[in-house]
Amino acid sequence: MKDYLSIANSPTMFLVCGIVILYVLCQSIFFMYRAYKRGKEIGMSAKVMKSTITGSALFSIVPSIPILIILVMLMSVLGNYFPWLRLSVIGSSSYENVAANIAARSFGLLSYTDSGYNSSIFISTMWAMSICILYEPLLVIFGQKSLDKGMTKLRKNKPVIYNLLIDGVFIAMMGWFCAPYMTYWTEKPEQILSLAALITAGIAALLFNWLAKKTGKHFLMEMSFPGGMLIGMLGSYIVNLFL
Amino acid sequence: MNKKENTTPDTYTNTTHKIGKITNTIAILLLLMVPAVITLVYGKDVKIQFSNTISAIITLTAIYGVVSLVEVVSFSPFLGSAGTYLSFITGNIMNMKLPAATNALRVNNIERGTDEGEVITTLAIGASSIVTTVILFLGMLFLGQLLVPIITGPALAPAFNNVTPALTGALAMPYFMKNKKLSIPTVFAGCLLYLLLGYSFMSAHYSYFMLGFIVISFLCYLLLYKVGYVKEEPKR
Repeated sequence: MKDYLSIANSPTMFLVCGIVILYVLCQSIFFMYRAYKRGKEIGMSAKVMKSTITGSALFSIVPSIPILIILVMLMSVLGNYFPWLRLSVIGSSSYENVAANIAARSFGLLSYTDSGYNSSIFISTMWAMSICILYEPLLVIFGQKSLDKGMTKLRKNKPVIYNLLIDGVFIAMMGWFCAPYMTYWTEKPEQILSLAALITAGIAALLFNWLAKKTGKHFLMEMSFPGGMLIGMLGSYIVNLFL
Repeated sequence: MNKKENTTPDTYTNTTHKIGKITNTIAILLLLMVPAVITLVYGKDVKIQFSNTISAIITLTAIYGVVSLVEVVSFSPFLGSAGTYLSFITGNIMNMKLPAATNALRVNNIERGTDEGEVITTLAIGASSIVTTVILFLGMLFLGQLLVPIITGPALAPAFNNVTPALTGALAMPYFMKNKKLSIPTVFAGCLLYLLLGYSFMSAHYSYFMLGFIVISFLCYLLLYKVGYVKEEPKR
């Protein structure tokens, strides 16, 4: 066993990581409790709030799977607990892998799977990854209130520009996210699977919405996003069978 | 929550900011506690290489500093006040929190920026965070070792490798269809950029291009609205 793994898999590491994760879990529950109470105060239906919680929870299961894959991949190198912490709190599946590699390269290694990876590099990596992930929450702490106030003011004074800003920007953002999936196959033919997933999911979501309108069943509307996503995955699976 | 908070939306929002700032500051300190405790416990036997650590921090800052700024400015209007505090502590925003919040608003036909919208986005983001935390806990204990060989195996890999495009398609298409006049030229412009400059170049400069693309798109929408090509505000 590599020497740093005795630190990475130590009870101390489990305890400190567990404390942070537990704290953030409690934070989520507290924010939800406040929101639920607020919803009741302003006369929102308990059914709507409960179905929002259930729907969001159900949707979140499938996108958690790729994060689980990154977790297992990182666990094999960085031990059980630090990757568990990083992917549960602030981190994202795209950031952690790259960040761990960049930190390893600063020590002259090719990647964090390099045989030269040791306790000193592990502890330094922890520091670098922990500090550099804090920019976003720090920006939120210092800037969110002003950003929020600005948006509220804009909404009151210039509602058209506000709506164009919010919904228009959402369309632009979605267009931006879709573009690589729609074009990458021209460079890498096997990426046709991404395009298949994107299109199948989109058509399935539209079908769910259409059925919801036709039948008047709200459940179908709730299913349009998670159902569309699952059918999109099925779409790429089926296309792969023909490749 | 005190009685005052129950009366006006402004008080609720102000308290949200106060709580958000306090709880996120504690979370940040706790996150830094992890390497601090490990250094304290094991540091005497291990030589810490400060210069390399600083070099890693500088490299990571150069890459993720701009990404952080772009993400906070772009995503927070969609997440609500409480949702933003929660999302930027729990992470996985683009693939989990943003879709969860947006979909919850759409399904319930609730407008962003309203009191109801604030409640709905917070509940959606909170529920999403809890599910991910539970799955990752189980993953760390046993689920990961059990599931990963199956998911990454040749049979299911094509499906699970494409969760993100599937998620993007299901979220974007209903908006695109309701706002064809804005979405068709936007998607076309995005695709054209990728085709002209190539995937590798675009990936290497992702954040800068994303910011530029969003700003230019917004200015174009504004122009199209002013000249009367787009007559109504975007539909949800």
